[in-house]
Amino acid sequence: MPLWITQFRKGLVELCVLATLRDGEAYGYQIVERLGRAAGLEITESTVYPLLARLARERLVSLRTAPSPAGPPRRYYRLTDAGRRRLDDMGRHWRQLEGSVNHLLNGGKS
Amino acid sequence: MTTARTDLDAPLQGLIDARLDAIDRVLLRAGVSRGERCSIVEEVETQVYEILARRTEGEPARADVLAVLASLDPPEAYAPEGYRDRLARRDEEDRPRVPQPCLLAVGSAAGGVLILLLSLVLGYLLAGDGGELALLLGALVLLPGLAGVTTGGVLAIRRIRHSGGWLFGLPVALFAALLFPLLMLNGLLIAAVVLFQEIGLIAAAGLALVAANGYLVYHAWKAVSAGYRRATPATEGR
Repeated sequence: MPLWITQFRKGLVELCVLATLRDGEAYGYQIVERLGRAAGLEITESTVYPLLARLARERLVSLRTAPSPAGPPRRYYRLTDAGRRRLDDMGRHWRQLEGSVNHLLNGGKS
Repeated sequence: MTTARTDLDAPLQGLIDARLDAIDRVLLRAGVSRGERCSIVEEVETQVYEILARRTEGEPARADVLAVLASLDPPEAYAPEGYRDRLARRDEEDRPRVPQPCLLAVGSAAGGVLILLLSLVLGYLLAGDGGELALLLGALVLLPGLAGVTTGGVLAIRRIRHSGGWLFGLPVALFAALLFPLLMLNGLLIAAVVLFQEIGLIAAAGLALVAANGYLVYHAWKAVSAGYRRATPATEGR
């Protein structure tokens, strides 16, 4: 994959992971699958799991474990209040950025 | 690192554990805290079982486990990005290279040959008119140069052999170390043979000289190269 695509996506990963938890909790692999289905994102487990660990350390997500029918217990992640605030801030910034970039891509015409 | 056990056969569980341990090692080297390492490794283990459960109805076979492991990101992918960059830079710095004494010896040899040619040309041009002096000066400069070549060669051989394969250029180093002694030896032998001035003896001595040089070089090479193996950038456990 070209380096520019990797660089392009790097800053968006946290926003995407937080966004997958907007409507409720999800376990690790479920988050990986949701992100994997999004065209163009191609975010894999080696990016998601370290990020989830960091988000938990920063208390932006909380987690609980529950038995799994498939093997080891699943770890369910849920946005904390701080995580929801971060998601809102990031979402707002993203929309502003998206508007500005689209404006430039359209040759400065609104 | 241990996580929750399941009822997989021990060899299959061993395959999964090996992958989890590899990820844990990468994270440990990158300085990731124990808590985060546990969290990441447990997530990967859960993912492996999730995929296995969807893939197989009953007991998973070895091929199933291998296929699932092959579908995962490689352990190195878990290292933080800054750490991956540092590793790449270190690999570049650790690339096998030629030691400095070896380069010095080769430089001295080239310089010595140049001086020899120069003094011969000067000696020829100034024959009978200071030519002997030019040859003498050339020889005076050449002798320490040749001694430098030998010393550089010997030092280079020592450094290469003690580098664990990370320095190379052993044939060049040996050439530098043997050049001067062999030249001296051959010169003395040729001078001794020429004194007899007998064609048959000179021819026999010439053949003996070639054989003796070959014998010396062969055994010297065997001695210095014994146990030496050049490393590759991917060599682990340095």
